[in-house]
Amino acid sequence: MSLLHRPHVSPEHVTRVRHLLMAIRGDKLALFALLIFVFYCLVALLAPLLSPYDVNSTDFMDLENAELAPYWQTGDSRFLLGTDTQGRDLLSVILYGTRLSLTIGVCAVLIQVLLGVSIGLLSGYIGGRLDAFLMRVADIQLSFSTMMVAIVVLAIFQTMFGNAAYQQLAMLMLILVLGIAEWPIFARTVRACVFAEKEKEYVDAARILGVSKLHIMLRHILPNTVSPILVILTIQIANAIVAEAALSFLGLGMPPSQPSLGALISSGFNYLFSGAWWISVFPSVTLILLIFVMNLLGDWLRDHLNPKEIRG
Amino acid sequence: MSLLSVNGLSVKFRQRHQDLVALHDVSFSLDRGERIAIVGESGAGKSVLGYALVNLLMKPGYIDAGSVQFDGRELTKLSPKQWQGIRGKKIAMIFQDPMVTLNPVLTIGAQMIEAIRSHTRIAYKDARKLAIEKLAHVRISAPSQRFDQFPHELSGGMRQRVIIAIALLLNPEIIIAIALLLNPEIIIADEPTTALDVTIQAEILQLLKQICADNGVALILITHDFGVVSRIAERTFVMYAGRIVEQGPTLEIINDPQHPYTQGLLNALPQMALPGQRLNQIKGNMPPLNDQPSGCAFHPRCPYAEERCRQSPPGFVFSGVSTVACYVVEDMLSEFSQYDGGDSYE
Amino acid sequence: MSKPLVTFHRLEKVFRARSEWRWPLRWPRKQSRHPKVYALNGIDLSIHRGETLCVVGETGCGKSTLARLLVGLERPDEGAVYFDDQRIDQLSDSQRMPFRKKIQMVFQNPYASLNPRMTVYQILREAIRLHHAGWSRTQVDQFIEELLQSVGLTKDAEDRYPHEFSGGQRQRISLARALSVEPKLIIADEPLAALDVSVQAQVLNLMMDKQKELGLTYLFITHDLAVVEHFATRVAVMYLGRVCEVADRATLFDAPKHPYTQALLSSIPRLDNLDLEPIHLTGEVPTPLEKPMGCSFCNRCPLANQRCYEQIPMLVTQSDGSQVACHAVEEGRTWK
Repeated sequence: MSLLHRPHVSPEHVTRVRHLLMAIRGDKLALFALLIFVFYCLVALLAPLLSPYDVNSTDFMDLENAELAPYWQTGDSRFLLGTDTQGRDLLSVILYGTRLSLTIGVCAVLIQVLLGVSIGLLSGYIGGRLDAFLMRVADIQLSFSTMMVAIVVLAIFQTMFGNAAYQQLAMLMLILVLGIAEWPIFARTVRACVFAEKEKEYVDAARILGVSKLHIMLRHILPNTVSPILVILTIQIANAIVAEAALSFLGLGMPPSQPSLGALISSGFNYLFSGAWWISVFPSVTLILLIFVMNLLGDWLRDHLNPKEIRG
Repeated sequence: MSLLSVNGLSVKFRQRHQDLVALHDVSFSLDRGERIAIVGESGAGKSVLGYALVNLLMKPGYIDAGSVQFDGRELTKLSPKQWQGIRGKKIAMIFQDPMVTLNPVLTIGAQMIEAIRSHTRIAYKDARKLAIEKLAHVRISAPSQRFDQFPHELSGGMRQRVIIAIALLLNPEIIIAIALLLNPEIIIADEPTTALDVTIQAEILQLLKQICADNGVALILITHDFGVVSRIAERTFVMYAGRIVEQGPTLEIINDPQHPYTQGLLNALPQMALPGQRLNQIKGNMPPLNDQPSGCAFHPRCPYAEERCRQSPPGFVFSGVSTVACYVVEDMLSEFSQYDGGDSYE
Repeated sequence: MSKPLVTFHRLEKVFRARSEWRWPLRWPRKQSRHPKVYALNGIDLSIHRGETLCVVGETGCGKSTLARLLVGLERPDEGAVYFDDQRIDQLSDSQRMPFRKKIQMVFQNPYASLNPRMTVYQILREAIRLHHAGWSRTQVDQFIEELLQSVGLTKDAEDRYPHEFSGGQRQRISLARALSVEPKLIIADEPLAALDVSVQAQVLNLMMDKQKELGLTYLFITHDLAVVEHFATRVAVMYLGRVCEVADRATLFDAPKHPYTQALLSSIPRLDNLDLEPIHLTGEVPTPLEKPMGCSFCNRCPLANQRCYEQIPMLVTQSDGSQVACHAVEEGRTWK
C-alpha cells in the first residue's frame, strides 16, 4: 500500500530518466560506476585519437621492442605500460582491445535483444501453442551452455574456412554466436512482462477501439517492458564481454593481429611467470574493472527500476 | 479514564527537501467497549492514523509529535520488544486486503498458532484448542478441518484466480478470529469490508459489531463509507487532509452534518438526490500531501470559504450536535448565542 | 416500443484453463482435468435505445464477462449477441470494425485503463486515427481539444501523462476516449468503484450530462445499489451467470420479487433508513466451478424447495412489467 497520496507523489515514466538521475546523484557507488563506464565508452569511441601509436601502421609492431617493462621500471617514456611480445605499445593495444570487446559485447546483446524481444512479445501476446513451442525452443537453446555452443561453432568454422578467412570474419562470428546463444534470457523476461501487461485494461481498451495486434504489441506493450529489458541488457553486455574474453583466451576469439582484451590476456599468459607480468595483468585489470562496473550498474538499475517503486 | 487517548498526534513523511505532513495534530479518545469510526476519502490520512496507533508506519513515515496513551501507558515511546506485548495482544488489527494478511503457504492453523505462541507461552495443544475454539466462535463450519487447510482451500480450493477471488469471501471471518485470539481490548479495522460483496459485507459488519458488544472490545473502524459507519459506530470522526474536521455521535453527524466537507460528502451520495437528477458534487480533489493549501485545508473546495479560511486553520467548536473545526459554524454559533441572549432578555 | 439496440440470446460462456501445446504422446495417457468456470449460463437480456441498463450482482456473477462478450473481447460458447438486429458475436476483427465505432467501453480501474507511456493526446489520437482516417492534423487537434473540454478538462491536459491526473480525471479521459469515436452505446464496467465518494458524483454527473447531450445508451455494470437507484432506467440483477430479475428502476426498488434481489436490497446500508435490518443469507456461497442444476441461488435461498434444486427457472413477466426467474415467485411462496 502506498501511504503517500498515489496520483501525485509517485513519479512514473516521463520522469523515469529524471527519477534515475536524481537517484544516482544520491548513491556514490553507483555514480562512481557510471562515471567509470562512461569513461570506458569514451575510450572505446576515441581509441584512435587517444592511443599514442597507430595500431594499423606497419611500424607499430617492432620485435626489437618486445617485452619492454612499463615506464616506471625502464624509464623508457615511449611505452607507458610497456610492450607486448610482438613489440606493440601495450597502452595502444589495450585501448583498441577495449574498443573491440565493448563493440562485440554491445552488438551481440543487440542481436539478443532483437531476437529475444520479438520472440518474447509474440510468445506472450499470441500465447497458446505458439507460446508453448517458442518457449520449448528457448529451453532447448538454454540447455546448451553458451560456451559449449560457441566453442563448437567457432572451432568448426576455423577448420572449415581456414585461418585467413577466420581472421577476417572473427568479429562477426563472435557477435553472431554470442548473440544467438542467449536470446532466451530476453525472451523469457519480455514474455513474463507481456503476460502481466496484456491483462491490463488499457490493452483491452485498445482492442475495443480496433487497434491492430502488431500495433498493440509495439506501441502499447513494448514501452511498458523497457525497464526489465534495460536491467538485463546491462548485465548481458558484461556477460558477453566475459564470454568473448574467455573464447579469445582459448584461441577461438579474436586473432592476435586484432587483439581484444581476452586475446591480450591470453597472449601474455605464457610470459606471466617469466617476468613479463604486465602483458597479462594490465588487460586483466581493465577487463575486471569494466565487468565489475557494469554489474554494479546492472544491480543498481534493478533496484531503481523496480516497477513497484516507480509506479508507487 | 478512557482506554486509548490520542493527543496532538502528528505524522510526517521524510522527504529529501521538506518533510510532508500526513497527520496534523489529531486528538481523540476511546472508551472501553466503544465503537468509533474514522471516515475520510483516500489521502485523508485515515490509514496513516491506524498505522501510527500501532507503531507500524512504513519507512519514510514517523511520529513527529503527540502522544498515544493506552491504559495509562505511553505507546509512542515503547521499544519494539515492549510493543510485542501490546500489538496483536491488547490492540488487534484487521487490514484491508485479507489475502495479504494471510500467508498463502501456511495453513490457517499454523498462522493462528504462530500468532498465539508469539505472545504467550502455552503448549501447542492448548494453542490449537484455543484456535479451533476461536474459529468456531466466529461461526466457521468444521473448524478442526479448516484448521489444517491453506487459505486458498477454504472454498473449493482451485488455484485459479477467479476462484481465489471467491475464496476471499470467507477469509475476513478468519482474520477476525485471529484478531480475537488473545482477547484484545481494541480492534483497529482498516476498511475491513471494502473488497467484499454487499451481502457478505453486511454479515461481516454484523459479526464484528456483535463480537465487540459481547466481549466489551473497543473498535476503531477506518472507512470511506458512511453506510458502513451508520451500521456499526457510536461516534464518528471525519478526516480531511490529515486533520479531524468534525467529530460527534454517528447518527447526529449523518442526520445533521455541520462541517461543509461532511455536508458535501453526505450530499454527494446518490441516495441524497432524486433519481436521474444531477448529484451534488464537491468541486475539485483532495489536495496531495506535497501541495497542502494554507489555513483550512478544505477552503479551495468549500462553498463558504472566506479570506480568514485561507489564513489560519480554525479551532474546534461544539455546535450542539458535533465538534467542528470551521469558522462559518463558529460564526453561526455566536450569532445564535447572541440571538438566544436577546431572546431571554425580552 | 421500438426494437432493442442490443439483444443477448441464451448466452453461455465457459472459461477453461488455457490449453497448451503438449507432446502428442503422453504417458500415462490421462485426460488432464482442466477446471472450468461457468461464467454465463444462459443470459436473455435486451438493451433499449437511450436507456441506462444497470447490471448488478456480486463478484463472479458474470457481469463483466457479459460486457466483454458485447465488445468482442471474448466469444460466447452458445447463444448470440445482436446489435441493431445484426449478429455480432462471431465476427472477425475486420468485420467488427464498423461496430467498434458504435460500442465503446469505460473500465473500472482508472490506473490501469490508460497506457502509462502515452500522453493524453496520443491516447485520444489513436482512437481518432482509426475511425476518422481522412482527417487532417488540424482537424484532429481541434477535435481533441473539444473532446477534452466536453469532459471538463482543459487543453493543457493534452501533453501530460496519465499518472499526472487523479482517479476522477483519469475516468474523464477514459470517457473522452470512448466518446472520441462517437459511439451509440457505452459500456461502463464499475467505473466508480475506484473513486472517492465526492469524485464519484462528478463522474456520474458527467456521464448523465453526456447521455442527455448525445443520446447515448449505457450498459452500466456495478455492485453499488445506491448508484443504480440513482442512475438506472432499468435494472438487471445477476447471480452466478444467470439473470434473476429485470425491472424498471422504480419497480425493482419498490417491489423486489426475487429472494436474492430482496436480500441484496436489504444489505445496502441506507442513511435514510437506519433501522433496516439486513436479511441474512445462510449457506456457502457457491462457486461457478460447477454448472448449477436448478436455480443458481437455491442453496442460499430461504424459500427453496425440491423443484428449485432440479429445474432451472425461466424469466417470467409479472403483472407490473418486471421479469423474474424464480419458482417461488411463480408459485406464490413467500417469506415466513
